[in-house]
Amino acid sequence: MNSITTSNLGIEESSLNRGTYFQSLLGEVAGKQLLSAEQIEKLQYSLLELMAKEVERYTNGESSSVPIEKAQDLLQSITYLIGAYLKTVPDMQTKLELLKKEPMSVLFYSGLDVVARIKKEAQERMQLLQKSDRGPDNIAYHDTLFQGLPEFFHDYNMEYGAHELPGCIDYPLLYPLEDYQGVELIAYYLQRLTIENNILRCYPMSSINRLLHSFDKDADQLLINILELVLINSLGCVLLSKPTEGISISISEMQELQVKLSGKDKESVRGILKDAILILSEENALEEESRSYLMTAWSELTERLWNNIANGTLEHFFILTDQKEEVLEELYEGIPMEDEKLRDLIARMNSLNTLEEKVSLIREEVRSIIDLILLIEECFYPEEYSNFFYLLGEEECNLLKKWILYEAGSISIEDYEPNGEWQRQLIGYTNE
Amino acid sequence: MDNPIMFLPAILMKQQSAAVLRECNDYTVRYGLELSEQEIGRLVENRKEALELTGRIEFGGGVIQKIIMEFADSGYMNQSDYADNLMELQECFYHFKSDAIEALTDDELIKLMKFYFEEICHGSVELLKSTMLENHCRDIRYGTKEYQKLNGYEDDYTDFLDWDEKEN
Repeated sequence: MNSITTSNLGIEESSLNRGTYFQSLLGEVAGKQLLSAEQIEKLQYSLLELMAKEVERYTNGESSSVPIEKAQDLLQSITYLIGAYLKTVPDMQTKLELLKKEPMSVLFYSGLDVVARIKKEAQERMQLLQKSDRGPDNIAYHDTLFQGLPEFFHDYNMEYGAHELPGCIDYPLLYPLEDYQGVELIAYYLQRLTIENNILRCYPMSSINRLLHSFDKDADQLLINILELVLINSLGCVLLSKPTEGISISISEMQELQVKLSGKDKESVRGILKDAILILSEENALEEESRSYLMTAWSELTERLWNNIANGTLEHFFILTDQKEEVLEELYEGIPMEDEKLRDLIARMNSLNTLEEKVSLIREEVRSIIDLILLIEECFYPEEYSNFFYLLGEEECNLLKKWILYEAGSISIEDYEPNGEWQRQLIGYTNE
Repeated sequence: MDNPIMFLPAILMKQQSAAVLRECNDYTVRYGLELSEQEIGRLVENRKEALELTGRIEFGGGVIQKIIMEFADSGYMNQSDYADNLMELQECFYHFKSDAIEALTDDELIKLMKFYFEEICHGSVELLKSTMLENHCRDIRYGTKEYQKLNGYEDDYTDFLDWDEKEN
């Protein structure tokens, strides 16, 4: 215990600001009088020399003075790099020795090496994420991964702007990064994004997209964290003792959750959520890194869930997934089959004698709305349409109607003029 | 940290600047020019004020060493107003360094100042400041040469001239 206290010199590593580490450390060291006045003066002089050298390098030796804003930028970059190196030094005693003995330029160039390594590793991580991307349907996510982050690595100036953050990093994380600056922030961002993606891999993409669609029809355009929504509904599923894979909660299940959670005090809610996160981690066989990452969201989720229980607004916490939507989305999302396979299916359809057989085959084989429309046009006669629609079912007919209105430019049913017989009959059939 | 520049000790910068000025005396004495300790103190203080006024920061001994080396052989420099002239030239330098949007290097600006000082202004820093350097920096800011001859090109530079009129 004593040796730990001695090596820490009474300075807690966690109390130091991660973004302005060097200044924060110096503040603590000066406050605790661990450096003498002469040592502080020597350190300041060394920093001044380094700053002069950096200004000279920055101006290519053509100017001895710079605007104060630029000088502040350069000094921030220098202190960021020194801080980046000092963070890698394991104990306070050694850090203090370095501050006492080493010229600032030595720490600065060591910092450059550290930052170069962090940048390289972060860039490799980004490339891995890009390659393995199976893309939740969200514009901010894709823009960040394929535009903002590459822009950062392209524009990042390690020497004169190490603390800066060029490029737009829009997609929010489950647990926001605080304090960090420059490439360290990006490295941690990518590390957390990788963990988030690893957790999301436990869920089918169709379930995730359905959940997002239930959350908001324009969820792809929102600045939301996808894991947060998935986690919330997964916890709901755990509380309902149902498989989490579907991440769906129906109206009746929402009522069940209300019954289960009403009357619970904050501590109970805290315990319930913690247990649910642990069960969820077990169920999905998450690695330790992912487990502890999910636990970081525990306190905040407890707070939100507790507030919603108290206000009787549980539907603002859990996401009600529309059951009808599930069928529609599956048809929407299916990939159209290859031409050859489609031709084969048309031939098989035409060889069948009854409408029931044809509809049954459609249910078995067709996964895309585009294929369904092609089959209607190729395999049915106009006099069969109304019976076909009846056999196909209300949900599929509504989907077809929604699709043809969307194809016509998202217009209302009153403005729609059918451009074919099956469309005309479909509108008539669904309006009956 | 609100202002990281506060980190840097002003006293050290002043000491460096004074040391450089003392060294310059060894060179200028051959031209009959020398700065007393009091004048060195005034020049150091003047440098600090000029930098603050122009929103700049400088490291090392400062640009004054280069100004002294360039102007020491001028026929318009004499011991009686040597320190005052240096102070004005120093202020002039920092002002026009910013005014020329950092487009001139230290050496270019000092050589330009010397040329105008000798050839056109005949030793008047006031004239140098208010006419020659002002016009030159305006050329740079507007991205054109021969600013004063633009009257013949009104059609091409209407917007530019309007702007100029507004300024005046």
